[in-house]
Amino acid sequence: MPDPTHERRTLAAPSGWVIYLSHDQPTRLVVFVHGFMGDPIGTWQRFPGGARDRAWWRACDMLFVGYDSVRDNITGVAARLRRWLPQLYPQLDPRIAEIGGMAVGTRDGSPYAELVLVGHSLGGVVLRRVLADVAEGWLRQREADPDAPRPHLLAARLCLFSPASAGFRAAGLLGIAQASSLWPAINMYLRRSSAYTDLQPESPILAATRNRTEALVEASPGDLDVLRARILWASPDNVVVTERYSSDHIDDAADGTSHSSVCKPRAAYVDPWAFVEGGGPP
Amino acid sequence: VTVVAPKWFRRMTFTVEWVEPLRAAAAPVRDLAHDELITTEQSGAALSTALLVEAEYWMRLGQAAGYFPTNVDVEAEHRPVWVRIHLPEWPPMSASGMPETDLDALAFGRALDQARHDLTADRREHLRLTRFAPNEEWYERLEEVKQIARLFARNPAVALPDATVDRIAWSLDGAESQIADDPELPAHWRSAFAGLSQRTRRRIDEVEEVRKSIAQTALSVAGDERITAQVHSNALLAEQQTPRREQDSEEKGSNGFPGLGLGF
Repeated sequence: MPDPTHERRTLAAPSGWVIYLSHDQPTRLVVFVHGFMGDPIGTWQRFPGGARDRAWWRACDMLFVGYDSVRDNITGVAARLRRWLPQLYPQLDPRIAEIGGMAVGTRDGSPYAELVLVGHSLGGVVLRRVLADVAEGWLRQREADPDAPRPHLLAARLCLFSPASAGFRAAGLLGIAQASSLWPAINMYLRRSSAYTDLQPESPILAATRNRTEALVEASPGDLDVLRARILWASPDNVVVTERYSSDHIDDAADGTSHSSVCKPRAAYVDPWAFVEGGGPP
Repeated sequence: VTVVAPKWFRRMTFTVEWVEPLRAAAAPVRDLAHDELITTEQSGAALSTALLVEAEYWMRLGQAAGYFPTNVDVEAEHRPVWVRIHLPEWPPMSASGMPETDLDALAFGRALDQARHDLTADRREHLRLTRFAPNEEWYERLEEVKQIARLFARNPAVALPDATVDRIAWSLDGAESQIADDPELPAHWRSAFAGLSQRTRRRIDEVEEVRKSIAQTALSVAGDERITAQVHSNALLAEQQTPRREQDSEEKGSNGFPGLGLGF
């Protein structure tokens, strides 16, 4: 009888963040950021199941970041991640792995050795924004203090599934309806929410994030490798413009997947697990 | 800290994170006798009462699936008559006193997670209004949705303040559930299952009628956008592929507009 390999805890803050704690001693943290109208569980819930057959996942704690894509905006979610991730990586607060004096497995309290950031669609844009902001902040610090320590987030690997970095293929209500479904699209259209305007083709925030990222990589190529995303596109992807940054690694595509299914592994489609494990095209 | 078997950890986590907050939220209506007496202020507590009974079902099903420990009793939650009319007779018990299920622990865990995450603020508001709100509040909130539907139909380009859309969001994506409509799962009562009370059925029908009109306007907007996008892309394609001399003649007549199969 298949049994879970991880146990779920809802974080007290920020609201909507859920962590899956490994029964084994974890050596890495994988952070998942869902896309437009996704949710932290529905988008990614197949990933923990991979730990039954793939040892790599048993050494992971998995953090699923939740946010309200109708009401939140890219900048706000990115700022939340920048503020809270350093409190979870590299050292997880031991209280998160306990409840009512109980814990699963023995953790030796050692910090994680590896961080992997995984985003889908809008989540990919959010992560790019986080990393550009952290990198820029560090470069500025170094101007004043050349020995300023590199933030831990900049040691991560960045894996993106069909990121919306270049916006939706279609503008307006049509674009968001294709990216989610009719009712959330109507909700966002009626209020012209921030995420709705941010993801329109040629939006200022998309252009700025791209320009900043490419310039940062060019200025500090070795130090900021984390900004160079590895991308797995859906094929065909009818929702987002499938265009990478010039600074990204060469991308790949998974035939026969849609914008929504590209990040959902299953027995007959193991590419998402392999992609995150290796960080490169499967 | 005691290292325990995962089943015990899950039980503790579910109790602390889910059951106890529901118990606290349900307390104000514990002694209420009839649902006609539920006020707007109490209707949130009434919804928590239903979710608490659902949580008990999850505990029992989780025992049968091997997700929660079996060597500890599940506490029976208080079931007022007015909440029982909203919940199906569930779970079917086997001779052992536990529900019968084909779910294993992994599949059960996924189903439970989905059921918890499906309860967004807008979804909760939809459940509160359709199941427990007094008539006066129900018709007031339904009228707000009708007004927006009329405004949207008159002016499909309308943009509304956040607070206005928040107020009717329960009738938009709040009316949609992302979980499988599986009669064997304890969250089944939240869907439009066959055993809905007459009042709830009527309310769902009333709001669905308005939703149809909103959807119709939205589809016309998206349809127009699709034509515009296709014309734009056809023009770009023609510019890239057709020698200038031939473009002049093509601009005189257009053909091949795509159909409007929106495929949402």
